[in-house]
Amino acid sequence: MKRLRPEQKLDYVLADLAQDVVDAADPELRQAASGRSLRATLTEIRTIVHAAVSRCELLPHTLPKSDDPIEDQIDDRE
Amino acid sequence: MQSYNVNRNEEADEATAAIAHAIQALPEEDLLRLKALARLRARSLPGVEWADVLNETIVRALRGTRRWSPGVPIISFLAWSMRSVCDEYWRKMRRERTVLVSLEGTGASWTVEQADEAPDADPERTAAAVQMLAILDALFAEDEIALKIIAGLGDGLSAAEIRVRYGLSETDYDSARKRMRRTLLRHNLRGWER
Repeated sequence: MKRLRPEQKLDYVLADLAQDVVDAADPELRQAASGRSLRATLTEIRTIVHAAVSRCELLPHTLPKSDDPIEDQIDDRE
Repeated sequence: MQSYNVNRNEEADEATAAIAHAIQALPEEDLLRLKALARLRARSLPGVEWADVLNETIVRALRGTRRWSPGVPIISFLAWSMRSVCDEYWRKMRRERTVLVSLEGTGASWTVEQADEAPDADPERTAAAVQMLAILDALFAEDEIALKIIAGLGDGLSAAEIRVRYGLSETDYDSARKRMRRTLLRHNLRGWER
């Protein structure tokens, strides 16, 4: 078996664990978040999300970068 | 040519609007998923907060640098974008280090382009990965099966391959994954304050 570098190992592990988070059932998520105020947590997340969306509305229009080699590499890997 | 560009601009506008609408309409559970994902990713990036990862993920999604394919849930699209954001973080770090080394006149021979192609050449990323893998090991230290699963995942094995390697039944494996998921969610939504 080919020996993987730590960053490659971590990439595999995090990709799998991230999928676990995506697939988690809704009650599991609510239960996990209930240690502090769920409302406060959601407000915090919404604030970040809305700020990011608002920031983009102020940015000049950008076309998809189909000729961006970095993005192409990522797409190939995925 | 001009009408082609106008059409592409309109298409891009529509795609961006669709992504923005989907993000703003995310249900509460998906917002929690976003935080858990961002925190998990940020934990492996020195000096980066989960809010930064989440912010950058949304900005990149709305800039249209990645296409949101029809039928893909927006949360899955954002989870993949988050992975790219972390890769970009390391590329940026590497470019900045290369520029710094060049400016110091130490005879470094890499250019920015070469740095991105050179294999096995990012000791900082390696060190951060070792540290994060150790954190995950510590997180599951009390759970022998979870540690085996992490080791198997790190070797790029599938669930079936992990079960064979470590002699785990399907029930053993599935139960451990459930424990791991709960631990991960708890730590990424409550603990791991940084």
